[in-house]
Amino acid sequence: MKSFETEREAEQIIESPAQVQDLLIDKNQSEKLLLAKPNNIYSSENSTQGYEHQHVSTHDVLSVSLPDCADQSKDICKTPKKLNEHTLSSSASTEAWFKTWPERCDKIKINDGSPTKASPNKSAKDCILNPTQNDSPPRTKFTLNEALQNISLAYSPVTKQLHLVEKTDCVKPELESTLSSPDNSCSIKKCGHKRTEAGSFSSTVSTLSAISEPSTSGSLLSSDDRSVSSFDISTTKTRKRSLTNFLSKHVFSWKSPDVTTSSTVWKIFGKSSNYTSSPVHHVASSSALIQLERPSTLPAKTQEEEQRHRDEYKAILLAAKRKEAQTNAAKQKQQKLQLKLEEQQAASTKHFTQHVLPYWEVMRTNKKTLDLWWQGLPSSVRGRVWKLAIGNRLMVTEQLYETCLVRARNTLNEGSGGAGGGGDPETSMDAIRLDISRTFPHLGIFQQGGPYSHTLHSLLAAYVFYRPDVGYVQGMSYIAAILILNMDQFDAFVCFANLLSQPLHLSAFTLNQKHMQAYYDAYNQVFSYNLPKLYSHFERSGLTPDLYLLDWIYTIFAKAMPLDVACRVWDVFLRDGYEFVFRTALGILHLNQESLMRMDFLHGAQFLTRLPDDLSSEQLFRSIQAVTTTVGKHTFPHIVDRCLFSLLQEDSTSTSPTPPPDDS
Amino acid sequence: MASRKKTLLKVIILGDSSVGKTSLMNQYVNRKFTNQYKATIGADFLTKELTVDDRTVTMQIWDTAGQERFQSLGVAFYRGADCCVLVFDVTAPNTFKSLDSWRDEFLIQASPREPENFPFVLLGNKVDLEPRAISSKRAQQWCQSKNNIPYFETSAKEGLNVEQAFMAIAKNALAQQNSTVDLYNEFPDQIKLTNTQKPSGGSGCCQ
Repeated sequence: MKSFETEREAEQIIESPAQVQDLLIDKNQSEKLLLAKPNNIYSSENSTQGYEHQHVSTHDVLSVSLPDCADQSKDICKTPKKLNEHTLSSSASTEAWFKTWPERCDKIKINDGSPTKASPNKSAKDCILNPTQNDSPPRTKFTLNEALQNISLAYSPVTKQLHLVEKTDCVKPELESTLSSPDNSCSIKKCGHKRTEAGSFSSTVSTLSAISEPSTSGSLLSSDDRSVSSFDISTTKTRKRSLTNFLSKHVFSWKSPDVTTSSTVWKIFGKSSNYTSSPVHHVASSSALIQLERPSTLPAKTQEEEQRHRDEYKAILLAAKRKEAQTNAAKQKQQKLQLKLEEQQAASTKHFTQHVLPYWEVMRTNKKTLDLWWQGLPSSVRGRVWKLAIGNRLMVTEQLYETCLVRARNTLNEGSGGAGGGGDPETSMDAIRLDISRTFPHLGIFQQGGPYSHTLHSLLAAYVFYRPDVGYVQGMSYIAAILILNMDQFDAFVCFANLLSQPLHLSAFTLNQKHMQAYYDAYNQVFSYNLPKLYSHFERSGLTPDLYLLDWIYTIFAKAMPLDVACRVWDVFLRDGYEFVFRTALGILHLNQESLMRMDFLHGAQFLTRLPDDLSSEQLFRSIQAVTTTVGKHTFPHIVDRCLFSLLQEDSTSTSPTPPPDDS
Repeated sequence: MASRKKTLLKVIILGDSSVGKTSLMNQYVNRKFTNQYKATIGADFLTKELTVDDRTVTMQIWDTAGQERFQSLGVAFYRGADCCVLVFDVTAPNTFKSLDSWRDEFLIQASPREPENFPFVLLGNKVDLEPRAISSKRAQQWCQSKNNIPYFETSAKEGLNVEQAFMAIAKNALAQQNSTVDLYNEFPDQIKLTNTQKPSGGSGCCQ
């Protein structure tokens, strides 16, 4: 009862501002309007009734309407639920977006301005209205906010909509909302002319988001959902949300449903939406420069001077226009490039989801697959492809992981005092604790209180108990973090364990110096083969590979490179195996060879341990393509074996002379 | 004394994980502090030019990984160092306890000509934090037991004492370079003898 009054009140309040376009439209009118402004009209059609509600809006309009339930309640009850489903959920994977109504509306908006059909979704329960209540006249005046605070909203999982909840539980007028974008204008569409009884109310988005806050009494929305909705609203401004999912820089789009649990996380990923902002076409304004008559108090210009000034003025205008045209062209070019990139990503995603993932063994070596893979995996399939590429030769099971986790937790709970035999895990645990917050510190997600801090801790701690002989070694936290960013915790653990069992990283993390030396020697060979000049420069200045390679190997470039570039390197690293780490290292040297040639030892070392932040993946990959880790017929693993062999031989020859002095 | 030709000093920073080695180096060279440092893996390098007694000196600072397990990789890093800076966290007793092992490991791997005379400098970092676990007295005692290593209490966060500490490091490193040059040019044997006698007595006391 109260709700009806408040709705009416809400209408009255909202109708007054000039920017509100509140239109009562009969069918004919609406058709005209549809014709006139097809892009700006959101139509809500109730086919069973044979009339149309038109939610008319210029862009940036939100409209929330309550259908006239009193008169048409019976008919509306018959409205098939299908209609609504058809409109709203185009794909099952996006279901999560519709849990709350602002999202739903957002989704409608995302359909990018084309006329959208939305029909009142009625469940029988919603339509049980007490007609007598409709007759009661408005008694008090509420402000909109007061009114909204008194409304209790409840989310019904069945209808996937919000409902008003009355204490008597007999009146549940249903909200049907269509919103476009968060400006302060709004429009209401009344159903027929009997809105006074059932009413409809409209509000701006900002008000809508405010409703969900005070409505906790009746709302089933979790706080997480609410934070999501407010985020959505803030991003609708870009009107390009659907695009961001395809962006190559959008590294973790696979996670979007989980990631929404924290608004801080969103801020990080929100960065990528920056460069989707639509180009603004500036017009060089000349109005400010219009030459006025010379003030009478000043002496007149000579003819020549005036001509000169006029010419200068023209030149300035011309230059401004030229610059304008240039920036516009650049913007358009960038936009085209962006569009092309997005198309590529979409095609690549399609290829991987439809053809590669289901037939992994056959398709992983397919030429097209390898090519697309080289160009960088789309973020939406990255985790799944990585998982398949790494495999699970170690047969790590979920139970094994759980067991390791439990042991790790027990050790942690025992505290630093009590570990008798576990001296080593103990120090490992300390080291993990210190390193977690120092892993991707700029992202803020692995830091204390961050969403993945605990996950990273668990994974690393479990690994210490899975491989006590290896334990925790600095650098591991980066590898684990990259995996966690792309897949679930258990999958990340499986991949982590398997990745670290590969020869290069096992040697690295067990600090097997002989093997590492073999890798360095092999690297030096391919280095001198690919970049002989730079190699001899490094030799002269004493810049040995162990000074800069260590960091790159231990973190697989995760620490040294920007995250998106690092992920692309990981893509191909998992495609081609460990030698790609060395190939990438050579690629970096190739890319920067000119500047490196001019650097002395320390500046070279400084440069290589702190790669520039604006490292471009395209340039890097072009450089990587220009180098090879194969010398003649010898593949890189072959070269490593040879180096290791000669190292061992050296060892045996150097140890054989030592026994005699020992004996003597 | 007129400035001679450019002198290059190699300074290496050692100490447990997370005691603030990278922070100290960055505070000294760039006068910046952030709590967003990534854990150092392998080594990190910075240079700083400074003037010591009218001499222009280029200081190469080698910042190393703090995890003990990386100690075995140290040979390449430690070799040819002119001064070794040991860092501990005054709020974390463990980082103080492991100073001995860092010092020993350095002497083994770098194998300087005169281990007992090799210049070390000890920095007790994070004095801005509470509660303190290692008192100045305790740290100074340790320094005395190691042939009077200079000791500084610093805060990389607030830039406290950092400049002074690195100046002392530079002076010690320079002194080391000069003494080794003199040593080998003029009268090698005598000095070597007297020098080895003193510290061996000192280390005997503390052990």
